[in-house]
Amino acid sequence: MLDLLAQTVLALVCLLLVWTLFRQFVVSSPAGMVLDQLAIAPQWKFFAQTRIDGHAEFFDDIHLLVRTSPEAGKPNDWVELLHYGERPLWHGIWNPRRYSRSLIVQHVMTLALAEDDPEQSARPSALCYLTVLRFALDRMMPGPGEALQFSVATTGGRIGREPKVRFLSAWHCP
Amino acid sequence: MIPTETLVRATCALFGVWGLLHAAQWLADLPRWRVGSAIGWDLQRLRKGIKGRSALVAVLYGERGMALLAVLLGLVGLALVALPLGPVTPLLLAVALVVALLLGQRSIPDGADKMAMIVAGGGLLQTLGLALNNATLVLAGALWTGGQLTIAYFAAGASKVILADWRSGAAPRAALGSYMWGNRLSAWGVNLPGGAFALAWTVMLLEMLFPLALLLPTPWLGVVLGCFFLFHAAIALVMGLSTYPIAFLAAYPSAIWLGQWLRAASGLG
Repeated sequence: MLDLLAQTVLALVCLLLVWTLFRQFVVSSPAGMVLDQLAIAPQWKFFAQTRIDGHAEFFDDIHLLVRTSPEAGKPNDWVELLHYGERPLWHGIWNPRRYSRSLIVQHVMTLALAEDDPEQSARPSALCYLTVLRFALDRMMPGPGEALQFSVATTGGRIGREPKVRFLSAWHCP
Repeated sequence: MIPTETLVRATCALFGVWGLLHAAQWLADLPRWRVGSAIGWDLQRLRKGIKGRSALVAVLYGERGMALLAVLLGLVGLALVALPLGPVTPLLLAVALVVALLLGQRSIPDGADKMAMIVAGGGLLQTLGLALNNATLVLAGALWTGGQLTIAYFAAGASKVILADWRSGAAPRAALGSYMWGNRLSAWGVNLPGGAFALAWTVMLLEMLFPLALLLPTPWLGVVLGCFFLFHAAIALVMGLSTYPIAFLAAYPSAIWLGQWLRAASGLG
């Protein structure tokens, strides 16, 4: 009985490995993404998603900019909230903020990508919009009567630092 | 020939180190995941799917639940490092697998998380095989981890080589020249004449040829795996991927086991 069970497990492992290999060369469906995230049949494409080809801007640095405005008068200067400066070497051993930062960045990128497609632009009720708005409000803590606006910009690495505005939010009061 | 028990023990210990580091990092960052914060579950549960509607998941992804998961993973990791192989080892690996899966689903699981989950699954089968004296289960476990590692390297290389931007070096130049994915040293390296091109082809060829390394005698396979570990360590330093090298290192004992088994099965020694 144990032998039969073990052989079934072995057959299942072989099947999953063949499936994993096959999945490396197909575009992943939403169901496929679940299998990937559960590490059942993961896609192992490190920096090699098909959509990067011919799109060097895929690797652009993302900047989340925020400004506040008093009840009456000119808005204040833009402040950068998600700044990627020089990464310290010890982040290669200890980097606890990696996941929280990645999740925020993913929402910021979703906003920028959605805005590129006029049919898909993010509404203020979208999760990515709400997440970024809450992040900005948490960090800036605007006072009573103050309003806040955020923007997503991209720059091309260390050499081509020319910023490009990708998203501009409405004004929000806390 | 390295004995199976030695290799499985090494898998458990290395996975345990990953668990300890992963848990410590989660504990250190817990305040950012609190309810009411931008990535608190009260907001992030609006994501589509059953996960967002589950009351059990909401408890687990609350502040206390997350702390409990991280502490549990740390304790299990410590036990896997400290305890010898025994009947309790499969249970420890099963708990670690579930906790790693839950923590991974709370964020965006990266390659290191996925490899760690695979190592836990493979290790579970191997330790069950040892406990029940069943060689087929040991083979299944080593095949799962070693096979996924081999596919990971091969697919990483093959998926790059089909892209013109990788073949020309434009993709690594853009990635490693950015602030998000690179550092000052990597940016300098990829902007040297031919630097990005040479790096791209070295990485692609090494990754695609990895499956052949499984047929090498064990000491040479060890050398190849050592080179890959240094590659992961360099990536971790450049990109700040702290758990990445140890997650892949934990899969290497299974690759060695698989290499020994393949050589024996094919009459190479």
